[in-house]
Amino acid sequence: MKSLCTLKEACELINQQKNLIIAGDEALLKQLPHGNWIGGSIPYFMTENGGVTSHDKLSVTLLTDDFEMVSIKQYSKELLKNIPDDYPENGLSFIIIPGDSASHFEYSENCSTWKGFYNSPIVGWISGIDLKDIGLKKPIVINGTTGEMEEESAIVMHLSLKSNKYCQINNINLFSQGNGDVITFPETGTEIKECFVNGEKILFSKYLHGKKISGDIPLVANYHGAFINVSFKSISSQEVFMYAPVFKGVQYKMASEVLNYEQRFVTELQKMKVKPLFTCNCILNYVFAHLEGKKIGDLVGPITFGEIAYILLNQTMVYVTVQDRK
Amino acid sequence: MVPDKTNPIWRKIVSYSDDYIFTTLATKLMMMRVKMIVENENTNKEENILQGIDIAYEYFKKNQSILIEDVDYLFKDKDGV
Repeated sequence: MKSLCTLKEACELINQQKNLIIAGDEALLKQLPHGNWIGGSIPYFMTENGGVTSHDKLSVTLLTDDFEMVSIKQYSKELLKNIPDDYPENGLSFIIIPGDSASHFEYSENCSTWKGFYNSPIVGWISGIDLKDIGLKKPIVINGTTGEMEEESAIVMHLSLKSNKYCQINNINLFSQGNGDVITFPETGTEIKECFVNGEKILFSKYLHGKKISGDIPLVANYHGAFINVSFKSISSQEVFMYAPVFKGVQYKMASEVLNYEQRFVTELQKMKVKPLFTCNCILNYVFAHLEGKKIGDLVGPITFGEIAYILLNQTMVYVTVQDRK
Repeated sequence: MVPDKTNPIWRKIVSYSDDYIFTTLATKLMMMRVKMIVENENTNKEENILQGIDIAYEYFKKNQSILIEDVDYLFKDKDGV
């Protein structure tokens, strides 16, 4: 299947009762018929021709016949903690959360505290808008079964999988921890005033200005060998705003510089043994690595305002594979 | 096979998680959550360890058939298998 569909092609797939995850401009999503799909707004995509911005095409992930849809559910900020209760016995949960919404912040700060959260794979992304429309429009998600559009609640498609198969979520992160200072934070959150640098308290913004850090490379934590980025939204004189929370008790370092994103991605992709079912990449990789028009291996999918591989990630490519049980 | 929750290996895994090398992304993330609980200085240490064991045990028990590398690494020849 090609990476981007016309509205007509997407409508045909929906009318064939396929289970679909759809990304595209809000105006297109609103025109889709009711069916077994969930969607989120975003106009940026990885395609077979490279990164593109499109307001007249949709990225459609067709879930194979190995999957059976269990439910499509909306979760408000207050109900997000119930997601693990709805996990299928063997399967996958796809989540799309509106960017800058209450559910976005609740999920990013607290998801790992929910009972049973890691017991089944959950993958997805944060919906967004054209960067030119920031401040003018809001990211949305849509429940395809009802056509209901949401700016605050998350939408999840829970899918069961044939018993001889299982899903695995993985990521490709080109960043790793640099050799610099160890940075910790007194509180969990996305709006940061103070931090500790090698144990010494300092205004985080002052530290960043002093180091001439502009925010194009992220903070990186080491989660038992998985490098987890936290990207910078803005740095003012007193406060620093992040795209994902930093966590109290976790040690961060500034990332080491990445040279030649495209080649690094291709090298990492060559290590991948199984063709992914779904892939998404970060808008910050698209912007900072100038990926418009550049092909990233054979991977296609939305370029998003945040990637979810269980937890919220930044500046990372996320993918899901379906594998045979041994 | 994942050992019973009373097996002392669980206490070792959750208390010294940095000493282990995990393979799958999900395990790495889950163990980070466990580490944050265990190292929380504002709550009772013993309760933290027991909570960490509950989370790790449920995760490995539920997913043992697909976490073969992590399960073998942690439990093979350690009264688990």
